[in-house]
Amino acid sequence: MIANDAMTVWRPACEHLKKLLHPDVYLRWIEVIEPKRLENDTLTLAVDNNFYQTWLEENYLPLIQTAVATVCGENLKIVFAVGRKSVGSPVAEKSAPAHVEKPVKAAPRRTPSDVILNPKCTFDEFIVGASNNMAHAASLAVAQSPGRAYNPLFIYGGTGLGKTHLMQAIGHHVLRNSNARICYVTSETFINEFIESIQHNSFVQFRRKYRSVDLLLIDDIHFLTGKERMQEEFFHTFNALYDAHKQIVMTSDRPASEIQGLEQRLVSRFEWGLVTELQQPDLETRIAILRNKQKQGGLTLSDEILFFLAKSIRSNIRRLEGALIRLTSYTSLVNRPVTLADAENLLRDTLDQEKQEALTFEQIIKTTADHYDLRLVDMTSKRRPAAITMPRQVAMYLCRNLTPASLPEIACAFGKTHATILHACRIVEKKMETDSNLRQDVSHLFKVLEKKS
Amino acid sequence: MKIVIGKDAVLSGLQMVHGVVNVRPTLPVLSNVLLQAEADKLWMTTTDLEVSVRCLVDAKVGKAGGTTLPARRLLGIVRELPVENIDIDVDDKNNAVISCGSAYFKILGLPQDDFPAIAGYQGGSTFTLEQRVLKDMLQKTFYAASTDETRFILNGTLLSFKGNKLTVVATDGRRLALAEQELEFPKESEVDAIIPTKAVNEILRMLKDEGTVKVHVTKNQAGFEVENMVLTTKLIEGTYPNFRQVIPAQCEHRIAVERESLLTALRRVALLTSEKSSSVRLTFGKSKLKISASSPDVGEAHESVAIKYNGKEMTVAFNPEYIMEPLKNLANDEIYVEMTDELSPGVIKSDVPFIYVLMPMRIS
Repeated sequence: MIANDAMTVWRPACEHLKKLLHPDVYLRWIEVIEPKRLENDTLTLAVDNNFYQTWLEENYLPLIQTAVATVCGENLKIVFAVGRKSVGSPVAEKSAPAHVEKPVKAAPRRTPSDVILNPKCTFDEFIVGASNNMAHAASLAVAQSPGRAYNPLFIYGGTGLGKTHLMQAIGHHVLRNSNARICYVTSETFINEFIESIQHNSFVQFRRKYRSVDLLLIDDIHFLTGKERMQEEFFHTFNALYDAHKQIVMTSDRPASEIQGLEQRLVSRFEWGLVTELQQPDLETRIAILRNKQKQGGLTLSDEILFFLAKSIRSNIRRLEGALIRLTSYTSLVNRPVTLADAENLLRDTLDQEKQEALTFEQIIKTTADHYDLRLVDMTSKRRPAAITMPRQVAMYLCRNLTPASLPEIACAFGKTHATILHACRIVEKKMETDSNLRQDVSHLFKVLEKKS
Repeated sequence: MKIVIGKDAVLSGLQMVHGVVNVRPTLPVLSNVLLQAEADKLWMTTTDLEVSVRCLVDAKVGKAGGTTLPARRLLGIVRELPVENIDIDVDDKNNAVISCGSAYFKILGLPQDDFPAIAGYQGGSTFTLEQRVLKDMLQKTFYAASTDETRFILNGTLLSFKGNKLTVVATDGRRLALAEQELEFPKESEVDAIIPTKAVNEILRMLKDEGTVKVHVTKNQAGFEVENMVLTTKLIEGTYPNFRQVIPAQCEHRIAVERESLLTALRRVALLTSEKSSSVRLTFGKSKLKISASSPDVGEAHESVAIKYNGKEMTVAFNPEYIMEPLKNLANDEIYVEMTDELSPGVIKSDVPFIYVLMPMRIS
């Protein structure tokens, strides 16, 4: 059936190309192509090997595109695939010309069944730790009962912390356990398709595509900022899906309220369901991640090395994996186990970067002082009016929590003793339990500082 | 290790081997050159784990032994030394003292055991051909190889020893260069080898106009041996595409063109291409080939070259770089351009078996 549609487009396109191209070229490059399927405005053409694909893409793609557009009246995306005769029975293909009268437009626009999900991104592969167990639990709940648990689910967190992984895991889980129609797109793809639909006046298709899914996964939603028409379209899509009790999952690199240039009505909708944050993993989680990666790759590095990696790379899981790969490839190259010295040497640029990114006391003190509108000298002075003491204690608390520094080190930066710092941390922690203003201040400062790191 | 060596010998050796050394190698020892002294000879070896080059030079060996020294630094030092004999004395800790006249250098090396072992070849096929021939064939083709890492199989030059012929091919999907040469070898040694571009560059540096080169090809590596040098490279694994399908069966017009005048005209006209419109148009008219380029924001240029052509007028657009490269690397005075129409590939040929297929750009 699918092959038929492809055939109905491809045949006349071939005729068109035949007129245009020299017979030698036609026989060599066009005749050998086999139409495979037509779905979602994408025409897949099968060729024998990579080289056909390379040569056709480089040299004949625009020609083919124009020819196809001329015969069917709309711009289809042309994709080459290697390996022919894998889809559809040959009989069906042969009988295809009999159905030429069937209009191309009527081709069943199936839902995006070819969802491109990374097979590695499943719940099994996701290492749960204190920093991400909330997000993980929420995602799992959504995956188990899409549309009913939390709708929409909004996951945010810094780069390389597993947003996309969680989102795709939901997709995998739902795909495996039901025949729900799933659509996973990055917001960039969403935007591009929207623009294309404006160009080709195919709004209806665009809407049908996105409003007929059971689970919509949109990655990196913050790219919608500043695109007003896009936001409006997304607003309607969102409402349509929400009203039909379809699940929506979004990821972003910051909370919805902090995405600048996002309309208020969208922000409020994003915060409607469950908002969950992915934080930087703690040491234990990082070690667990490394162990897991190592198991998958069938690799062996000593615990000492893993600990070193986990300890020195804190900000980003991708970077952690990169470092692991670098070490293991080194092992296989030199055929001997990596020593700690090797590791330090191999990873020196990554480590340098990590160090640079680490927060300094000055940054923390300055940010806190700015936040409370105090002078920098007040932060380290000996004066103790309440208006200064509290911010000073907050700064100490932040230093304690955001840097790996020891109490005496922090004490030195403030010109105090370590007992003062310890006291400050305890006071702040205690007060935060009761004082919501303080809680807000601290969490705001956390966010600001984390962005700086 | 203790040797006395002439400046010219050590300099020429280092110049041969230093090209392999990466600027930022994965292992510190890979920026070093391995020096091994034995019985009036000095072996110099460099490697980047993919390509390895060994070069043999004459030296007076006082005490045999081996060490590794930073290749670029050593080359820099030797290059600046006066033309005299150079003393190199290396102690147990791999500290090398280089003295020449009153100049004194002490550079720190690494033990030779750290240097990765260079694998020898086992089995496979061996071919012997003239250095001049192989150099010429590689020179005419290697530039067409792809640099797009996603098409790794095209990131090298194919040496295909088949049917008593050596065929050398490189392509990047828009053009293809092929050179062929008769070569006698038994049927059972037929083999294909894809040589990475970096290795090809080194081979070109190594090959001279005189003498023969021995080529060994095994399943995953190839070796090239000349009088005093050996180059070993890993092969790009995989099957090279069927390049013959790219070569058009026959073209309608065969046009003789003077190579030098076409090249210089192209060079001049290509000055007026820009990033946006990087194509030159070749208009074949009666006895005249007009080369023109224009870009809306720069200007335009055209120039004519005399040709022997009598057919209908046609205009084809090409990327100027792609059409100049074969012209630069050929030596013949006259070449043949074969054309069919504006959408069919153009072909450049010369007297010797050389074919260059080039896809036209679309004229909008």
